[in-house]
Amino acid sequence: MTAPRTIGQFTTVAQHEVRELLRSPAHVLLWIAFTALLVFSAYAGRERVAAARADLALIEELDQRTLDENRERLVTGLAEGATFAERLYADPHWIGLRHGARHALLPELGSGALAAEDDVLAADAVLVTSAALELARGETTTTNPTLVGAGALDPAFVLAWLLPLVVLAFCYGALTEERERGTAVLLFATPVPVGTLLLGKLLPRLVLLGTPAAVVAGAVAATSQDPDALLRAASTAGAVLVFTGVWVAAAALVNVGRAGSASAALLLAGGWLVATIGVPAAADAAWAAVDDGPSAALEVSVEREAKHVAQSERAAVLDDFMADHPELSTRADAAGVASYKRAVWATQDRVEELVAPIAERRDRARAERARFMAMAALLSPVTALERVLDEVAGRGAARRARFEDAVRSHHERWRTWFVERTLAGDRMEPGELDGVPRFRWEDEPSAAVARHVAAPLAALVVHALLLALLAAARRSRFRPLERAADAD
Amino acid sequence: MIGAIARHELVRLARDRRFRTLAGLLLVLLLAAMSSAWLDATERADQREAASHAVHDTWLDQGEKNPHSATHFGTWTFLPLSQLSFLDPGATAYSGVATFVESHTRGARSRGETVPAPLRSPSGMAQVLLPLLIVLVGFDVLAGERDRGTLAHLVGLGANPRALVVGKALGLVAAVLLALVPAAIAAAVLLLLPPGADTLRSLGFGAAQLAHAVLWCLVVVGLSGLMPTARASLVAGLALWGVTALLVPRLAADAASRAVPLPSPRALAASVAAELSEIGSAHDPTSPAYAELKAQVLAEHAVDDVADLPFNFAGWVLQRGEELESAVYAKSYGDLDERHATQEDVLDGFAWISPRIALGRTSASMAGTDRRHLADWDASVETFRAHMVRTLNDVLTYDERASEPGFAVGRETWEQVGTHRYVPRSAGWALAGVRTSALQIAVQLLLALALVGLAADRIARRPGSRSDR
Repeated sequence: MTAPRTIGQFTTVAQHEVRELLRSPAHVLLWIAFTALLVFSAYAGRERVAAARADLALIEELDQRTLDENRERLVTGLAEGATFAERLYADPHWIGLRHGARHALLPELGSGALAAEDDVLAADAVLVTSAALELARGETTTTNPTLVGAGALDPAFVLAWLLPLVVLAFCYGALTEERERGTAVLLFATPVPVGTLLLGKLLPRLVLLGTPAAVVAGAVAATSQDPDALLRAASTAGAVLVFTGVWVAAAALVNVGRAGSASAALLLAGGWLVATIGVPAAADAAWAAVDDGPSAALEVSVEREAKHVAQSERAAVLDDFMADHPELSTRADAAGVASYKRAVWATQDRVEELVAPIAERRDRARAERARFMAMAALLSPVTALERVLDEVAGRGAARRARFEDAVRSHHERWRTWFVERTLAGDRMEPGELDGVPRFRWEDEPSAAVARHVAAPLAALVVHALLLALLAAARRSRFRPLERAADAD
Repeated sequence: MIGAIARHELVRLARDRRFRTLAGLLLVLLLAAMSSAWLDATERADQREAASHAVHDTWLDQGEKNPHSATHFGTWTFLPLSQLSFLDPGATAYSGVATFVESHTRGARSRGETVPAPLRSPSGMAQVLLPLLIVLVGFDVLAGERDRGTLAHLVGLGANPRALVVGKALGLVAAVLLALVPAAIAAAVLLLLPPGADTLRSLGFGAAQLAHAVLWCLVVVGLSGLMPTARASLVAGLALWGVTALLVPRLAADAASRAVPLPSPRALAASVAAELSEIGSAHDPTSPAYAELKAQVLAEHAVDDVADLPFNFAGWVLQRGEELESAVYAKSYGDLDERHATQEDVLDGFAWISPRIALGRTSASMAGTDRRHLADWDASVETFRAHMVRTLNDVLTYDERASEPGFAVGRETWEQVGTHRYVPRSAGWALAGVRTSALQIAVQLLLALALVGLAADRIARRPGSRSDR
């Protein structure tokens, strides 16, 4: 059969299908409802991003206000006759430890509208002081836990969970209904091969469903004004289109089988169930079986014990600390640094030393879990798409780890700066506040973003190809019948 | 006749490979989720118990110090896991495991342990996957007969359509419940293993799950009788499930957060800090509010100097300050709690069209893991905090040696403070919090029965498919 003839047959079938779909009120209504829901979820996502940004801006504003107030207090503290409490506001040790503390902020990406943050352990603002850094510590939340449990109405949910169900509703009966109506016999009697027939029936559905979904999702990223917005948009749109293709290919596979339309719908619903809930639940169960991370309760009690031990052994801890830092002894004495400040540093070091093993265990378990879940996500198209959207939205584990590393480095700079400044004298001038280290954040480079989305995107392509190839292989079983019909 | 039809339907379903496969799959998922959650919850409970003992030992061994310094030393209290939390972890899995108790500051819960994944808990599966199973196995109980032409035949032979529909519904209910018996037995055994099982809560939890399963069976049988074909019945069932079990709960949460906006954590903290700064610090009795208190107490005791008071003024003013600060926290967090409750009222409004919301609210409440139980625990921590601070400030206020430099007390005083013990609320209290949800499930059951009645009428009028006519 020649290519032009095949294309002609395909076009005829596709045009007929589009006309049929547009004539079906149920299909048109479902398409409109789904697209409207997707647009609404994107709008709701934008609002969530705006709220998160406003919250971060509020933190900055409060930090700045505190700084301005403390600048005034600092001036008072420097004045003759200042009380003990007032003098503390001019003391670099206490400025670094308490009065001058500022937050390190993880900016909310505009593409964050695609997927809401569901990791309750992830903080987007960390208060940095010269005390020990507590990245894993939660903060007071005002969110209603009842609503958290319901989940967010974000594009990630609409695309990863609902789009397959809409594809199912559009495609489960593409060929099976023809069989049930008895029109399949007539169709097979035409010279149009089953493959062309199936493509002609399913490709318009892929375009009708996948294109608007990809356009809306891509537009969210493209208009986000994020760094690499186009790369994020292309990744999102591509992933959504391929994801739609996965489910259309699955529908093709069940359509060329012997199942009736109800059984075809059942099979697709079963596939959806496995991909959406089965695989993530199995991954969770598998991880729970091997997870050796410490519980939050254990962390709390270890940290508590460490602080108690360090404080009760303060004299010995201070001796050890001074033996490790002989330079502090002479310079401290020269600068008149009170022994309690050295004791505070020594105690902090001791607490960090005592907490380090469990903190390392926790961080290692978190990193291993992130790696495990990244691999497990490739097994299901649903989790693979969710992973692409998470990465594009800036919710990926790598961006989070990068933020935590940046906070650790900043904390180290902060602590060093204040220790040095405390050693240099116990009173700060107002102008020196401007020299205090500031947290600087640079988002991931394009190559990193591309690398993070590459694996789940490739997994989606593999899922789509495998299902399409399986469908094509099964379609070939129809050839004898088709040939027989041709012969007739 | 109804019994015979129900038995026949039960046998048919038991022989149906599709039913056996799907029910087996759900059962495996449920049993795996249940055993894994039970092991996890048991381990967490043990860890919290051990951590609780460890921090209490640290409290007792803190050494001698000024009693008010001890209020700053503080202690941790750990959120206990309810017996049913492994079946429905609700909000407790991710809402923080412990609270730090100290003076001047309302305790904030520490970080949670897991990411919210409600669909992967046994209760989540029962809320979402069980209805899907019922749709997938029950869509053709009547519509399949209609497609095959046997429905018209049965009615033609004199079968009562109402008895036919009720019998089919009973058969489906029996098949679904029998398939879940192993999961129910496993849950009962795991609940009864630990001593002091809360039978009433367990029964309430089970009754809500049972009512929800029966509700879906009735809805599916009703749709199967009303739809012209098995395919239409399946599509209608799946659409109803997708909308009510997946979409509406999220839409409802979105609507609730729009209708009743909440302050961000920082905005709340800033507003609390602003109110506290108006009061001033009890550690700085020169602030205006405390100067006023001082004047009042001096006038009350008709003395000119705090040294002439019959108690230590430093301790007294710290306690007054604590009470003023606690009032600020109580108001701010009380307002937040009210807003949460109003959001849940919005959610309850959507529950009229989403049985999953009604079941989820009832299930978490009976399991003792919903927001209301958490708020109750927070309140009990606040009560303990007030007790701890008052006990220690009273020592500073009334001990004759308190005004001496270097005044310190030891273990005996720390023992007087004791530990925080949360007394779990009764099943009645839990049920009272979800009265609306329980009522909604009951009304939905009645509506589902009406749907079944409509299906019977439809079969009586037109037992065959359109093509038969």
